[in-house]
Amino acid sequence: MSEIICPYCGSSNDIDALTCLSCKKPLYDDVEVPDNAPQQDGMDWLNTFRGFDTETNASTSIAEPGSESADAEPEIPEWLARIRALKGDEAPPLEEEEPLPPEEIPSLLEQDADLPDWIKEIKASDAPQSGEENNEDFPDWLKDLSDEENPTPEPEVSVGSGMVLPDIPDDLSLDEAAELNFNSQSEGAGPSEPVSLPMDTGELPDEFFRDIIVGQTQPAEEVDQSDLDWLDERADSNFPQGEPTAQPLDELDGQSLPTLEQPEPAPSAAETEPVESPELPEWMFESGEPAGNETAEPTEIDFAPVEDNLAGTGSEDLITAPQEAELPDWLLEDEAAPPAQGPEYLPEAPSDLEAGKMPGWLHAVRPIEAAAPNLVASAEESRIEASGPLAGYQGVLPGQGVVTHYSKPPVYSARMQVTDKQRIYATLFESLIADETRVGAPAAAKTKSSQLVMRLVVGLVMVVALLAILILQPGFAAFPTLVPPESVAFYDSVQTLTSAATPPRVLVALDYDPSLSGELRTISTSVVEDWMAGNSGLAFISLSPTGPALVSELVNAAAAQNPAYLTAERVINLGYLPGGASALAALAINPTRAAPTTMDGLPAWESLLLQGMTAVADFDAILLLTDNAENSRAWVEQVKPAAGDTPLLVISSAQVAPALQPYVQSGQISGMVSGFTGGAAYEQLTQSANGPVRRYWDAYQGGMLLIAALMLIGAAAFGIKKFVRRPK
Amino acid sequence: MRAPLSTTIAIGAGILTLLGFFISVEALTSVRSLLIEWAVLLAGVAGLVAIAHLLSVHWRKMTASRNRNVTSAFLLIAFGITFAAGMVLKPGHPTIQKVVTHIQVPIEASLMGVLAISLTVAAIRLFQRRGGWMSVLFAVSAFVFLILGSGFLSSAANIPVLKDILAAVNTLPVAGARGILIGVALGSLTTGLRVLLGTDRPYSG
Repeated sequence: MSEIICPYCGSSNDIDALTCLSCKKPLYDDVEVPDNAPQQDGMDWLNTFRGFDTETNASTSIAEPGSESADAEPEIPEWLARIRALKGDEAPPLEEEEPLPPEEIPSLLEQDADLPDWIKEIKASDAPQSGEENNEDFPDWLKDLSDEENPTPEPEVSVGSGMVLPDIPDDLSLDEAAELNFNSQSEGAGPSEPVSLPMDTGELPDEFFRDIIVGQTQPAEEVDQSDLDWLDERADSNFPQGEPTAQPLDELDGQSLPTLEQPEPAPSAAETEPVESPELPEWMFESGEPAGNETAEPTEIDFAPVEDNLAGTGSEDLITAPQEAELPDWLLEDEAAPPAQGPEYLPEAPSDLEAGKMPGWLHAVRPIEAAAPNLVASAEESRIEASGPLAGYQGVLPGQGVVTHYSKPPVYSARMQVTDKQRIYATLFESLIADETRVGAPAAAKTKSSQLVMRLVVGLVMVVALLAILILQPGFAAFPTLVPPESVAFYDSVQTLTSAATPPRVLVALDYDPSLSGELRTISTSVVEDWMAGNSGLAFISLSPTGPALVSELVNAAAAQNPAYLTAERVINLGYLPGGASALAALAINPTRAAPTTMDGLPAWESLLLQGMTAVADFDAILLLTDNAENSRAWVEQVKPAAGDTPLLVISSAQVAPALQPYVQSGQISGMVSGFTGGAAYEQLTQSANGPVRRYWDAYQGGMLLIAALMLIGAAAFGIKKFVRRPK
Repeated sequence: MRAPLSTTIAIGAGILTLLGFFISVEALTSVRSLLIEWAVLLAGVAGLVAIAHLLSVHWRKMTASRNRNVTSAFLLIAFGITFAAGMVLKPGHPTIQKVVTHIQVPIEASLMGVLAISLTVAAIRLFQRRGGWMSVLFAVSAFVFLILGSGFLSSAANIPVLKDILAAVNTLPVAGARGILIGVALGSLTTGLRVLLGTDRPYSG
């Protein structure tokens, strides 16, 4: 444990500390509390100014060593009192009352080894040296000032005379400052040698500054003799009789003594000049003289206002010091009650001391009213409003002059300066806009009627032309001489299968809508006729709901050209297969489960035509009639891989042909007949003179040329019309 | 994760079907065939649901208090008659076949004829409605392929220079179709992978 707890405030202190750093009370019962510790009451300094209760303060605050316990007893807690009582019973009385012999004092000094080095240096330098030697450690300017202010040794000790204490901690500054002053004064030139140094309070705490003010402004003769009675008594008790007062006081190390104001008969003029103290700001004295008035007598200060305020209270005698002018009213009222001790506190006339200079920092922090009370009030503030709702008020912002001074706004011409060329462009633009707004509605009605007429005319022309061609059969359209290769492959496949010894069994898939049955039925009829001519077995399956009906129409149309063909035995209709690509996948995997029955509900795969077949590959060919590109692709992707070498032949409409050409070129489709052109090519290959395609070939080609001609005529007419109407 | 059960079933079915397509194991093939048959059945049921929805919509139109649509009654009556005849006579009966070949086919073929006339009128008015080089390009291409598709120039295909020109022009639609097929293939592949990975869940609603 390297700390000790204060019994009064409970704060932690160093083990070597004798007094508490917080409350400044002794940590041990045998240690006296320094009476010049920082005064807790901030108004004590005012008490010194008042002077009427100095005696009472001295009797209470400056306690005698012997009476300390009795005075402090009411402040001691009960528990601590019991502890002290028990301690007093067990232990012998402390020997602190006995004066230490001089030879033991160094040993006490040695116990301060834990003190900071700088304090030790100060102590070491202060102890053996006299006052003159002490001055050698101070800077030159400090010495000069000291010499100037104290040309002759004065029997006065002034604590607050401006010691420069660099970097003193706040907790130590007060005690150490008092100690240093005490040592330097007591061990130096004696009690009659003052130490008056310029004050540098930049690093000093406020309390220290307050003490300085107290010590500085309280002349020795103003201190009541009763305030120093304790010192006399202490001196009598601590020191042997007959010892000089210059006896070393090192025994008081670690204790801070109160401000010692030695009662000297002739105090220095500087110490008796409380008003003219250079460290006090000017604003502290409301009715005091300017700072530079060095020769002003304190009695010349005008205290009339204060005295007038206190007139009748019987305290006129109290207003003896200029500081009283700063006291608040309530304090002055309180001061009226105590008895006055006026003559002792009257400020004496200063001697020929020159006035000190106010520090710069004090100039900066003083109230501006103290420095220039009349500068704040400017001319504007003194101005009184003469008119308006604020008439009679003072300090109003001036606005009348600004409002009354106005000028007529300049008039600019709104007429645009345009050139002749710009005027022409503007006129042209205006006419264009007028034309647009004028011709809008009639043009729309005219366009609607013209469209209807055009549709009727075009429709009639086409219908009449096609009917005329179909009826007349002019035969102007020649069959193509060049046949597409896919049509040739298709033809070769059909001829190969139908010419075989065994009649082929072909799976025919109908995947087209009735809307395109005119094209596909016309193309496929000749092909189915060829298959029937070869006595092929045809198993029809449809991916469209209308497919089974179209199958019957197709079979009937083809069978009409082949009366010997046994349709009931060689043709079977497996019906509609829903599901799109999934149905094709199911058909490719197992056709017997995908389409198990015929349209009549009979088992399809047990018939004579399909007996023994279990897969798509068992068919000799697959013929697809389609107008749907997506379903055609599904056939190629889903069924063709399962078909193996079985050829996939396609009859498609003209619109699907480009989408199936890549599969033809890749060989996935063995042959294809697309559109009327393909049908014409197939009939050209089969050398059928009266095929179904041949009957519609003139009408088909004539209609295509008619549409192309109408497009050309329409494009030419409207193109020329736009070109003519285009503005130049 | 939204609809975890549906996602698990979809991904599992897809993976099994894909494995059955590439691996010829009897078990996988059987599972694959079974799943595909379920899909075909569900597609047939979806057709029935679509028919029922069609009937309900036209029933509401016919029985609506405001803006009643009388023509919906014709649809409902025609559907009832056709359905009853099909159930009684069976779909392969010649009378049922004539319902399709003598009513539906001419109507749809007529719509295609009207479409041909409308497209012709639109082609004629192309330069009236819109100009520019795109319209010119479209008109020129339509004109060229109409002539080629009609077979009018087939007799002149023996001319060496014209033969090469016609072959080059006929290659253009095939080139375009190849590009479309490649795009469709990539789209199908991406869609399949998204479904298998669970990123795309159209079945979760």
